[in-house]
Amino acid sequence: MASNQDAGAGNQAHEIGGKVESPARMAWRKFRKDKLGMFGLGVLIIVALMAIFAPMLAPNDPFDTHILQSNEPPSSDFPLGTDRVGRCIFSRMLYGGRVSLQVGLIAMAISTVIGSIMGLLAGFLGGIVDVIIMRIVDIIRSVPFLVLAITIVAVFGPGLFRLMVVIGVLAWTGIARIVRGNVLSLREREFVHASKAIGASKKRIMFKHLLPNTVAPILVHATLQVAFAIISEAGLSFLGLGVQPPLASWGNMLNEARNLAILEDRPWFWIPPGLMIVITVLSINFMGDALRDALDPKQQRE
Amino acid sequence: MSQYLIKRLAQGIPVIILVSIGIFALINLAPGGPVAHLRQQPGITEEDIQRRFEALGLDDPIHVRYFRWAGNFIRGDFGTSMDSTRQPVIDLLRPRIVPTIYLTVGAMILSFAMAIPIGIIQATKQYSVFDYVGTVAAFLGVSVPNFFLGLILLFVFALNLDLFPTGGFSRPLAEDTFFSHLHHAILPVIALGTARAASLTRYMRSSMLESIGEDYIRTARSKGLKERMVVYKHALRNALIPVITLFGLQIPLLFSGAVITEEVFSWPGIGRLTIRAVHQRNYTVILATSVIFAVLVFAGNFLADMLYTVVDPRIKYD
Repeated sequence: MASNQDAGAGNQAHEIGGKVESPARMAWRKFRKDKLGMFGLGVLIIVALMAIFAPMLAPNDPFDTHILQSNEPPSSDFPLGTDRVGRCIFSRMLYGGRVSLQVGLIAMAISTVIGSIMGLLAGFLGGIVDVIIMRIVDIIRSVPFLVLAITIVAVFGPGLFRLMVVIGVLAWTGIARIVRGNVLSLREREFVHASKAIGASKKRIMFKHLLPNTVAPILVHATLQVAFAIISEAGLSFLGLGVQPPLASWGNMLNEARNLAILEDRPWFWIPPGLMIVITVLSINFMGDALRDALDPKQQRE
Repeated sequence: MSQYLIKRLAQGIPVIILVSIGIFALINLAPGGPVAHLRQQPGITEEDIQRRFEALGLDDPIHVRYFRWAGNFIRGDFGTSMDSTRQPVIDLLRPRIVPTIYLTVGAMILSFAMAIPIGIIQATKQYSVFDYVGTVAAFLGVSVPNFFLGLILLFVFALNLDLFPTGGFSRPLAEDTFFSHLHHAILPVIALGTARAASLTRYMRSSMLESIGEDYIRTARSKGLKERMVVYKHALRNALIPVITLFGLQIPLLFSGAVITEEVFSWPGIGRLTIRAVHQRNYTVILATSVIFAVLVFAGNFLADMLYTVVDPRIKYD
């Protein structure tokens, strides 16, 4: 019976427009017209490919120390010169991209999952649950992010895995607020009342009905969250409280520039990884903005 | 107004108390407790650690310790630094509050001074070259990490052009004047303020665009008011309201940025103190600075609320 109806609806759509456009396809059609967004996507793909194929692209092993050739300016052997212990800076930058992107993606995933669930619970259940969750949000937001992050690092120590968890666990408040706000208005809509009336469980309503309807803002926020996590990683590693050498990340390569002599005399130490951060974050921001426009149903720019 | 003030304090103080409980608990979560790192040093026996433990009062239950700490904190006794100097934490903190406020307020002024005029011009000349360049520049501004911008500013303006000092807040061996402080502050303020300015510009532009599209603007124009009057008096005032909300939300970001900017420019503020304390696992200092930061964020938000009443006379706090 149900399948018959579906087939009927499909036929009808075929008759009207030839094909039915899915929301994802519609968003992509709009996104494609956004020049800055497409530029961002293109650059990001290149950066990601550089990180993925780092073992093939890197001229040297990023951990190999050529101690007799340390502090060398760029040359044909070492395209961006060598660092203080004679490691190839260009190779470290390619491998560092893997670490920085990994931190960005995993921290984003952690904060998005926590934030979405917290926002759903606060918005849908309301009452004491809402009060407690929003109080936690207030507390986290009332201390500057970096201060909290370095306090946690002081207690548990630095490291790649801890860094991803720390950023993820502290950065979920924004998304929780957005999801909560959306859920508050959605839960009074007819389709939610209807599913309540037919006896759907709270879990089902939250994850099958409410969550899919807030996917657009979550997606936009998650994109920008990757940029935030990459900048946070860079900042913490710059302070020596993030990714620890010999593992390279764009942030801890910038740490070298805290030495004024290196800052002045060997710009190839720190400018390239810094530019990689800027290029990556800029591209993500372009994309996030284009995505926001593309997913906004109110904005019909034709 | 005074009633609102009290209400705001009543909301803010519990949050600050909860922050202090949270951070206090966090520090006590440190594997093995706050003196555990002493074990890694050679020549320290288990008895030494036990003695430190008792000297610091760490053998009491956690809630007893918290109340003792909180009671002292309110009386202005922030404990003793856990590094070799054993200075009272308050003495470490006090001289550093002014430089941090100097830096953040400077960055705040810079961001408003840039964002408001640029946003207005962008909105009044939508789709012009200026608008387009401004939009891309704003994207770039929010995408450059402030410490990287700081390093570039140091590299270009302090090291190569020698126009500014490479760090610090005061001149060595000379009397400080208003201008000597300003001279030291220009680069760090730009490094910290640029991202905030860029993000405010984007909001200012869209807020102004929205405000210009309103009916009362058409009315003002049709009354024959001069375009300048329409834009600067009628549209601007309403466009500023959402921007000030945003300013309140940005205050924690500003302090976050200050922590790292202070480190780049050797700025003698609370952020730099915190980072040093983190490297030394100096927990009494970390605890004090985090709570001070929470107080500063609260004060900043409070200020934003006051600003509200200035721009929007419809808002009355009573």
